[in-house]
Amino acid sequence: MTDTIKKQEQALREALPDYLNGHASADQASRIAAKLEQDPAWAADAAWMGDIRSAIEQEAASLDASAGLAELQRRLEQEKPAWWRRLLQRFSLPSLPRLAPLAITALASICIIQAWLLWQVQGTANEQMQWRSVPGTEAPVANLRVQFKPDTSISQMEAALELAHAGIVTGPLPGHIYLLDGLDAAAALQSLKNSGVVDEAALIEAPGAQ
Amino acid sequence: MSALPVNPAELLAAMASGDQRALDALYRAWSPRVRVFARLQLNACGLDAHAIADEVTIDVFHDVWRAPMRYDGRVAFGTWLLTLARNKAIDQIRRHGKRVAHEESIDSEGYDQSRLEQAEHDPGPQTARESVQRRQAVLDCLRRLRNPLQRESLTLWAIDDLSIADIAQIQQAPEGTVKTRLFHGRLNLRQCIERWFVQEGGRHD
Repeated sequence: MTDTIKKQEQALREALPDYLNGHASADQASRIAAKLEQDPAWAADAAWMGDIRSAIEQEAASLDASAGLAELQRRLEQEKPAWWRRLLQRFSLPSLPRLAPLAITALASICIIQAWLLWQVQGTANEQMQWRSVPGTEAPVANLRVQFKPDTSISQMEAALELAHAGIVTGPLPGHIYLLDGLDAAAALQSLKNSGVVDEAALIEAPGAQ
Repeated sequence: MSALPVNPAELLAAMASGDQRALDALYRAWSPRVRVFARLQLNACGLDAHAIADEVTIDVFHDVWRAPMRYDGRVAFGTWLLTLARNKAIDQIRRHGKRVAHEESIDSEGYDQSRLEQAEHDPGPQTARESVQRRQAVLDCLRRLRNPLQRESLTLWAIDDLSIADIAQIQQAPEGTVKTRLFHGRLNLRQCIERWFVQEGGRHD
């Protein structure tokens, strides 16, 4: 019990420097303030720390900074400013308006380069399409427009197309519509209508045909 | 010409843009504390301690000028600055060696007699003389503390109202250790001062 009290007292005493510098917690501060009022040993300890602080403060106050400052300035005059400081000095805020033409030119250059790059990409894509096409052949032309029933399976579609001798040119378009190239458009149309998997089917007139 | 700020962080920002007046202001405000701290740290360098401490002080502010934005505000400015000073002082101690570290100790009777005699003969009221004597005695006893870390803890505590946590950060030690250093440091210092007063009382009687 006595040991515990002694330890608490010692811990509190070790917090005295923080109390005197204004860093003690509220709880510690109130307990230390009470101790200082009641216990002369504590008051003497605090006064002693005050003497130490006072001696050091007075010593610091007695020192003249002029000589050291002169020496520091002499050193600075001899050395070249750091690159970042030269840069900051050169481009400090008041000089920013002078940089405006430079900034605008730089931004315009970036825009031009970006546009040129985009144009290059588009050109490249067209070239790839041409390269993929088989030389000497033309893309098939659709002569049938067919709307399959929504529940038609792929295999049913394949069977109907095979039977009609037609191939898909493009599709599916919205509404299950396909454009087809039939070997014999009229026969293919009839075959598809009879297949039972088509809702609507019609011939597409060839461009320019009257 | 605009007025200079007094906040260290603002002075550092001004220094970053090349304002030497900010460096002057910072130096005038903080160099005395750095110098006193360095002097007490460099006690082991003997007669050259003051000159080396002045060099350390200039080095510290030179470094601050070269890279003011190294201070990131995570600790108090004083803590940061005194940490720089401490590192430089330790470098100097290593360079110069503890050639006179053992010449003086807290047990020696070799107080700074010249300064004490000067204080004794100073004109003015007796109380002022006693105050100067006491101050010199405290500083001399502080220099003679055997444990340099106790001396450093007490100096840091007194020099910038640093908390125990701040001192622990500078010394890179647990707070409990700093508390112990402060406690035993002031006990040892007090014993030294009591001996000093006994000696001085005997001289005056």
